[in-house]
Amino acid sequence: MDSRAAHGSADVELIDVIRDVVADIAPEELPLVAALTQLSPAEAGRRLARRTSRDDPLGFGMDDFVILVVPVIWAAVQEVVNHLATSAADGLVARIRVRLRKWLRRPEPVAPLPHFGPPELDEVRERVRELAVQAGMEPERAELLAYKVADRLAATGPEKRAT
Amino acid sequence: MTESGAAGAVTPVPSEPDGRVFGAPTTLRFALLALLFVAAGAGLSVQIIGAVPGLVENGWGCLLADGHNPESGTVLGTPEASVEGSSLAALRACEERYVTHTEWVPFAVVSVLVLAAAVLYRALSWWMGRRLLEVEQVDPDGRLRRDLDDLVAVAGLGVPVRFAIVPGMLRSGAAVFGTRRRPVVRVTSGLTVVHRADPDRFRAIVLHELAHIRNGDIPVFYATLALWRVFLVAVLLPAAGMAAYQLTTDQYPAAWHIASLRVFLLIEEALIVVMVYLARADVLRTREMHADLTAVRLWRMSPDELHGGRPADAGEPTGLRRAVAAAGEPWRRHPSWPQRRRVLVAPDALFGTGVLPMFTTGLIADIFANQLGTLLPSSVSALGTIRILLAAGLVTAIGGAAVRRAVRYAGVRNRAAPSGWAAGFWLGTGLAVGELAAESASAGRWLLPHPEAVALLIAVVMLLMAWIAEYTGLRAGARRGRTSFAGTLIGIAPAWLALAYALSWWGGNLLVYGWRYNVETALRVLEVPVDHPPLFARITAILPEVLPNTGVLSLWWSPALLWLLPLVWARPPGLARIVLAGLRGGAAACAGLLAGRLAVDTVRTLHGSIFVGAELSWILIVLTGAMVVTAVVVAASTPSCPLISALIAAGVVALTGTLGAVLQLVFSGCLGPADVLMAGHCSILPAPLSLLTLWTSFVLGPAVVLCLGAAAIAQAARRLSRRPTRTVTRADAPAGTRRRFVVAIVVTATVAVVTLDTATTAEPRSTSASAGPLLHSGPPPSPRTEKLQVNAWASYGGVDLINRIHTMDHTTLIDVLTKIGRAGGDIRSVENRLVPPACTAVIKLARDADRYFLIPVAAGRRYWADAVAALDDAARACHRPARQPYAALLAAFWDVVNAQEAVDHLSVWMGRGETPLGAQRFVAASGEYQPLTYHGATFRFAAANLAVRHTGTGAGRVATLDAAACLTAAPGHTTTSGDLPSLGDWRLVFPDGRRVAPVRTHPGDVDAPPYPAAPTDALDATGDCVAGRVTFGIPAAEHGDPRTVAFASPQVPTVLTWRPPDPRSNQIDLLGATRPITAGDPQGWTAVTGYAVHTAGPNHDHIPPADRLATITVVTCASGVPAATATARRPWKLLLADGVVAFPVRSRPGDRSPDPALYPNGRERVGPRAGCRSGSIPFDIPAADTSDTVAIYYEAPHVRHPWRLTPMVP
Repeated sequence: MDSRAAHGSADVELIDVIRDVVADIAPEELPLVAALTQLSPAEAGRRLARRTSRDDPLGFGMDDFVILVVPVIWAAVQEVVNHLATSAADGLVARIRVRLRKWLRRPEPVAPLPHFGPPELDEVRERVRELAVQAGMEPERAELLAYKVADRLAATGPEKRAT
Repeated sequence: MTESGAAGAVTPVPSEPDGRVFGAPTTLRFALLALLFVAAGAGLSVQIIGAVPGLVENGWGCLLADGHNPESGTVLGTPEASVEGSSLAALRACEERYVTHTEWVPFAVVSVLVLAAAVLYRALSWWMGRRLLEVEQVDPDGRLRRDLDDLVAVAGLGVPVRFAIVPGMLRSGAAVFGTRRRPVVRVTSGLTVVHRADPDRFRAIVLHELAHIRNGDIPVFYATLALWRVFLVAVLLPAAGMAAYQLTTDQYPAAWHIASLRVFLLIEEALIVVMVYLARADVLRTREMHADLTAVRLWRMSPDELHGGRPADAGEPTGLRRAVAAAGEPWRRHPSWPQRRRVLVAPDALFGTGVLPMFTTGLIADIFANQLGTLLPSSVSALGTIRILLAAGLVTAIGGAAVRRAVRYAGVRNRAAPSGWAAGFWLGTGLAVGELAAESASAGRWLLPHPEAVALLIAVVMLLMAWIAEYTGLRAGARRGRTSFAGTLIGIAPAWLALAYALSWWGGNLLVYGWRYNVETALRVLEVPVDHPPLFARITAILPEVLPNTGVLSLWWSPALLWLLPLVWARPPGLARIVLAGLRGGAAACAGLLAGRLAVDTVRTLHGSIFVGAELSWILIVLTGAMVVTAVVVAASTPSCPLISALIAAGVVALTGTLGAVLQLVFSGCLGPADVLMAGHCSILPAPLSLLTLWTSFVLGPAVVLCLGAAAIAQAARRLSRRPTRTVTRADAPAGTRRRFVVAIVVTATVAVVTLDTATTAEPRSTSASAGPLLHSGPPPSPRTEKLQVNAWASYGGVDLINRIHTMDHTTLIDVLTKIGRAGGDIRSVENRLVPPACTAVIKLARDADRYFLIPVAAGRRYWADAVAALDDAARACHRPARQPYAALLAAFWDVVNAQEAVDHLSVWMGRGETPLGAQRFVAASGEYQPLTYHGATFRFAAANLAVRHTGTGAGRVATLDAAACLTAAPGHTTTSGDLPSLGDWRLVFPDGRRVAPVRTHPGDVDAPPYPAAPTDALDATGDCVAGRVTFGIPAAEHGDPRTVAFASPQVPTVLTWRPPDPRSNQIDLLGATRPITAGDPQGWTAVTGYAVHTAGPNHDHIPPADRLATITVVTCASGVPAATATARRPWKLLLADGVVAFPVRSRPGDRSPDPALYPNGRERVGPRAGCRSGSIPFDIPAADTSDTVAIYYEAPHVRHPWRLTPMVP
């Protein structure tokens, strides 16, 4: 990844993208987004990926996983971002740094979204559609979601900010 | 109690009863779990502490040393568990000395556990509350907050509820935590999505959680959870680790008496974990269903709302999955969805008496009661009663409350009321399983002799639950649908007390080890030796043992409440008829009492012996018989409430009959042939109160339980006989009644089999004299237990005493004797200074040895008895008048030497030492008189019989020398005794040049030699001589044998010495004459028929090469003395030419007999010499000794004159 891509969209985070998309097509999920903003991006990603079911004592006992837009967007965009990422976060030193940060309870650095070129946007669109259908969303709605996400991401390019 | 609280909180009673109307008995079950953690924490912590080597001593070792047998099937520490020869005084002294007082430990542990649980309770709340968000943080438009507030208002909880959000959790769930006053509902982010997407479902979930708060689940659940986690981490895991460690290391400290108990400890812990998990999961499932019901019934939510629109069969598995789901169900904390839905439609499942709750309750209550023994030991009777009352209370309250709910629910639903049998069966089974497990663990074995005896326990619980069901039905009929705390308490209390009574009886009887009453012994105690006693006599003999303890704390009176309470509180229908039946039975009982004289006369004299107690026996037989028959008749003829009706009738019989019996006693002597007591004349006597108490305690206690059982059987029989004609009105009735019949039959058959079994297996057993006249002793200890017992005997003071005996011999006494011997000047004052403390030590040693345990195992006990007897002799010698202190001490010394010989044998027997006789080596020298003329007198000096004795421990040796010095005055001279050289002038000279002086040097004060050869036998000390046995104490540092005996006196200008000759072997044969064993007993005689000496070869593993073995062949025909005494080989000795005495040894190759006291290969003779025994006796002649045998000695306590036989050299 070139330096432009790496630092291109420092002001826009994934959660902003998700908030915009959710407000548009799944406003009932806004409280979830609001809750996620209280977490670090890494923690939020971990929690969204967690699918284990716990039998809470004095809980309701019949907890379902509701089909949600948020985890789909999160997973799809993150995948593409990871794909774009260089080995900056790889290597022993980086991992030690991450671990140290955890021990010292330092906040993780905000992960800015890179620039998404047309191929990346296509990839995001494709992954969102796939994951949404996998999660049980109807194809039409999945398609709509995919385009909304891609649109929103396209609006985060450096040239947009420059203008 | 939950019931009243719940009832009070609900204002309108809905037409459809919900779970809260009758209360959920789960709080009590939670309480039982919490109590179990506390009690088991106390119990297990004591075990953990006791298992740490060297930390504390719990007294097991003392009990083992006293001969108590942990495998005897009785509780250690009770008289039944001990064996003959156990000494209470020694036991108390041992406990006083060794047992660590740890009574405070369980209380400290409980305090710490509870404190830790309280801290954890708060910590759990904090832990669950961390990283949560406030509702406002995720709810910008305030809609979520509004809706939540609305739901709280609907629920009307009366406490502020905080809602918090778990960010990022996609599940649509919620859970409650916090405290009762500050509850928190934790809502997942997923649920906030559901809030907008599916408001009905959101409402259902939140209301379900609010119902948990309303039902008070938070404090109960989290307190139990906190206690459980603390218990698990602080107690259970360390206990399991300790047990597992000990299992793998196979080392058991004395405190840990039986290895297998560690396995039982692990099993017990596993059982606790499983039971707690099952019980907790079951309670939680019940709580969940109650929360559903609360949300649906009280807050007008539809089941479909809660259900979230699932189809009715959603989640209902089929086929194999169904079976798997059914197996997994007991472990789940939430009920399956189909089950929840069923409960919402018709909450029958909440009002049943399920198998699992009943079973786990019984089992946990039993574990609780057993573990509680640490906090409330039975040794204090009031505490023991409290413990049993607690356990019985929990069992009855939980089981009884469930039965009562079921009965009342059935009443509201107009269904057939459950009988309580099934609930009682499972409750009792849980109790019985717990009891069996506990007994197995305490006895240290897997299979108990009579596990089926627990059927009695199950039967009692079943009867009491059936009683509760009947009583509840009666009261419910009177007060439909309403109940109160007092009502519940009254409805359960009689069964509670009766169960406590049954449990205390059970704990004292332990029938799982077999029937404990022996009629024949009882008859023998009564001095009625009858081969086939009549039944009446048998009953009379055994009755005193089965009569209940009449103390109030024994609760004998409690079964009477089972009929008194319904009589005054809930009168069954047809009460007049029932009372009438009772009066009839009472009249029959009175008639039977009047015939008492006839019956008593049949056994009054048996084989010429007066048979006492028959009058009381007759009264009890008649009253109990009348009660049982009346109960059976009433139960069989009463359709409703048969048990209570039967009990009331039996109670009336008891009252009437008791009145009749009292009158009969009061007017004793006035009733002619109807008199039961043999009073001389007619007079009005006050009835003897003790007698009255005895039979009242029986007819109000055990007899009532008998009646209950008999009535139950009669009821079952009646139903069976009427079943075909009965009109079945309800669809579910036939299956239920059929099941009850089967249960009734099974129980009846089991009880009958158990009773017959235990009664029939009882008779052939013998009783131990020490175990009480009527109690069977347990099985003899296994070799393993014997080993443990002997080890305990050694560890808890035995080895100390053995060491003290050795020290006394080798160090203390020799030291004192030497000091006195070396003292110059005023010998007497030295004696007076040194002897009394030494004698005091001897006396103390003798007293301590006498007060210590006899060795538990008979084979070793004899050696110890010998040692104790020898020490007793020593103490007696020390008590001699003070004018001869030295002589007294010397005599005591020889007795201590004898004691030491005995404990050497003991050490060998215990596997703790070397062969004692093998460790005793005799080196010898013979001496001739060596004349010396000096100062006009002729001195002659001689020494003989030098014997050096190794005594086993390496602490030193003793040498004895028979020495003489004679003085003949030359013509023209006169001598005085003062001219004689001192015996103390003798010295032993060792190869390294060391010279050892005698321990006694005072001329003229030589004590008589203790062992057969008098010095004059070896040395012809005629004339003006001093002669005697001189004792030398050879220090431990001196390893060699004395090479020379030297004599050096200031009066003699030269040193005389003499050395022993070299070893050699020889072989001679002889035939000896017969000699009577005892004076005046022509039949008893013994003869030596052979004598041989041969060099022992290297194959003889008991004798070092170059030693010689002498054997004599002996025939003994004894009469008048016990064979064991007559054929003892200890009295035989060989006197060698050099004066050394050889003793019998266990030295025959292949002879492994542990008993060196009997002829090793003795045989019974038949024919002319019938009654005689013959055998050969080996003697070990050490290599250093080269002398021939000059005499065979026979000297025993029963032989008046020791005799001596000289072998003839061919």
